Amino acid sequence: MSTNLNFPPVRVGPEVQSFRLEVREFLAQEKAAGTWEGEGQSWGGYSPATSRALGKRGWIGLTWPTEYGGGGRSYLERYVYTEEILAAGAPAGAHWVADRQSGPLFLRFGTDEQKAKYLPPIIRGESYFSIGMSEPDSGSDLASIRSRAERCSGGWKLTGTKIWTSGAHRNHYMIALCRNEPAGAERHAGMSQFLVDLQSDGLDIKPIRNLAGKDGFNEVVMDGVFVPDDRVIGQIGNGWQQVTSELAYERAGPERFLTNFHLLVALLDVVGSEPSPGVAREVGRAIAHLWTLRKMSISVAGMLSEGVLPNTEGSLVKDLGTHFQQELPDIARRVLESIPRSEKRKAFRELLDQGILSAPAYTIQGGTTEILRGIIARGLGLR
Amino acid sequence: MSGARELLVQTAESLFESYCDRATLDRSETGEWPQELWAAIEESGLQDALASEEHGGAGISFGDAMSVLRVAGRYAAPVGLAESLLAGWLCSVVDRKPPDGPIALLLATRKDDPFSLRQEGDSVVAQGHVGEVPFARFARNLVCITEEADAVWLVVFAADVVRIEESANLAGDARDTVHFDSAPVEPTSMVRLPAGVGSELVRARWALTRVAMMSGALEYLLSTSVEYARKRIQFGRPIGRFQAIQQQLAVLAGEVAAANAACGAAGEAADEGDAILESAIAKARVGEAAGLATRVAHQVHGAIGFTHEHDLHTRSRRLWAWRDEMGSEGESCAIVGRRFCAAGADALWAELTRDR
Repeated sequence: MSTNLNFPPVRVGPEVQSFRLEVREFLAQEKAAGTWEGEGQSWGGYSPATSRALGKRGWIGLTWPTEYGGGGRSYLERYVYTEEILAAGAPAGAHWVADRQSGPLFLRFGTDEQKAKYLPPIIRGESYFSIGMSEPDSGSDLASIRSRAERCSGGWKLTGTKIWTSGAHRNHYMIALCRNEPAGAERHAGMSQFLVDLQSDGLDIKPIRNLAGKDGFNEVVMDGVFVPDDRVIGQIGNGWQQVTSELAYERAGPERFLTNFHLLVALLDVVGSEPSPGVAREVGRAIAHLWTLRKMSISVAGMLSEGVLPNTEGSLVKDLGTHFQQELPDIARRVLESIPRSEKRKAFRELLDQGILSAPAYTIQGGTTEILRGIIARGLGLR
Repeated sequence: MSGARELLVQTAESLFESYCDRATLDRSETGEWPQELWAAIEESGLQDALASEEHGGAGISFGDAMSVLRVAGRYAAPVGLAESLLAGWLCSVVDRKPPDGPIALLLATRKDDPFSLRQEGDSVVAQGHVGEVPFARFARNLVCITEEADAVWLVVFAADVVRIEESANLAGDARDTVHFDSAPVEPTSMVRLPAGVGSELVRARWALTRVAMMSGALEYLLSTSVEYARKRIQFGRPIGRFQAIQQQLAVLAGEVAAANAACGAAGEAADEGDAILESAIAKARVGEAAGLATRVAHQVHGAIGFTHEHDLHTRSRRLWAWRDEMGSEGESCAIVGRRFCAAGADALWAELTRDR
């Protein structure tokens, strides 16, 4: 409850910077070797080959303890690594969720057996996870979910529908949030998290086409899907607390302002080295925003390093970052008007069109603008 | 924050809290010099803290100075503390002790300021004028940075050799035009600045003082708006309980947070390099924050915030003034855009990630 919002500058240090260059160099080599093609895929791109290559370098689970095969490195190192993936546009989407939030969830709430079983394949870049939170009637109001978990011999039976489940058609697991008790007076009670094998009987996974014409997310119908007791994550009934900590990890990272970075690079390329004053202003403004967002996000990484879970700060970064990403195509449109027609301009226009089609999702996925601002308002002591 | 910086901030905090109240701001707007406030500042030594210790200052870092100015901005201090700090730094650069009393700083290198030094018989005189000089009428001495014969010079004038044409910015703070009518330049008061300290650097540092002051005033805007939303009752409850207001205040918080981060990071850059680029970036971003944040703060306050009686305008009007001093958003963005376009698309990521 404070209006004192501090984002102290963080010194990353020469070691972290040299790690950055190591990642950059590796990604440049992989791209040159043809491990992937195309621009700006990053966490939206699916490439098991890339995931395994990154796993081989030891860069998945970078901050996790070494006893489970993790890198044992700092949040700042993870920050620069993530930035380099985003800037290079390397397709790291297959393992993105596992690396960002499922692994940390096991580390915080999982049993020793679960950690030993599920973390090593994630770290190798071979095990991919989906988020099972939203439902057709539960979006921003996550506590209103209706999927239920019923006790049965040796475990639980899950029934209900999850939606907007990215990658469910090709990932290995989904972590489903379900009600183990009907909603009562305390609406945040009675929920639990279950690890669902996406090959299980009783699952029906249906693709949902997005407005850009791509099959990215799914509807996942669970009809009495069996989950054994050893796949319950954390405590039965503690789901809400667990899920909110997961969301904090999800929010503050650089994917909230670097997802369409390739658009800015291409824009600079198309405007050339001597822009008109109007174009220089547009480009300069975009860069001033991006520069500031990076400083904020690095500062949040510094807080994570010190063991603070910066809920309000993370929400602030996501809110500002996603709006920046959403505005970038508009900045590009304004600039483009003053650029003479050429092959380069034409190629840029195609990239821009994809950027326009992707933009609506930024301020919805991982917590809508309105939910984030509610969290910020709570941080300010208003609710 | 380092211990030394924390101590400086605490000193500034208690000083401005004691000597920079609303009555001081109101009197200052009628043209009265806040003598007690300035005396307290001189007593603390904050005004020449950027000068090196051998030149009578405290030798603090530029980032430290920005932390002090953040507090000054939060209290809307109607004195040229920023200008005195900068003058102290520049005097140290040329191995001088900063002059006594309030100092006005002049950057006489702008195209629209006709200013020149010329030989008249055996002596050098200054001719022309420089506009929008903060608190010039109250200065005992003026430190003027000018370009002459391919060099950059620092010239100190006593206040009694210049003529002041009074004017004020939209916050009511003195921004005077200083006229030089064959003003004599003492040979000892004119020193050449070393290469590397040119008008571009002076302007960039000056812009950073505005970044810090704006960041402080923005902090005030957020805390006062949240406090108001918690107290003001409409429809039977505090307006801060309405989502419409909460969402607005969250937007305000975002801008204040961005300004805080940009200010801190630019201050750090200034401690380690010329930070000309970073100062333009921060000026652009914080200037934009000032525009959006004042809109929200006034909207949340409703009609009472539009009155002279309420304190809100003591900060919002200064934000509207400071965002245009030493480079508006448009000018600052253009500097940034030109620099990055010249470096080229392939260099963009490497340039952005020169973290320390």
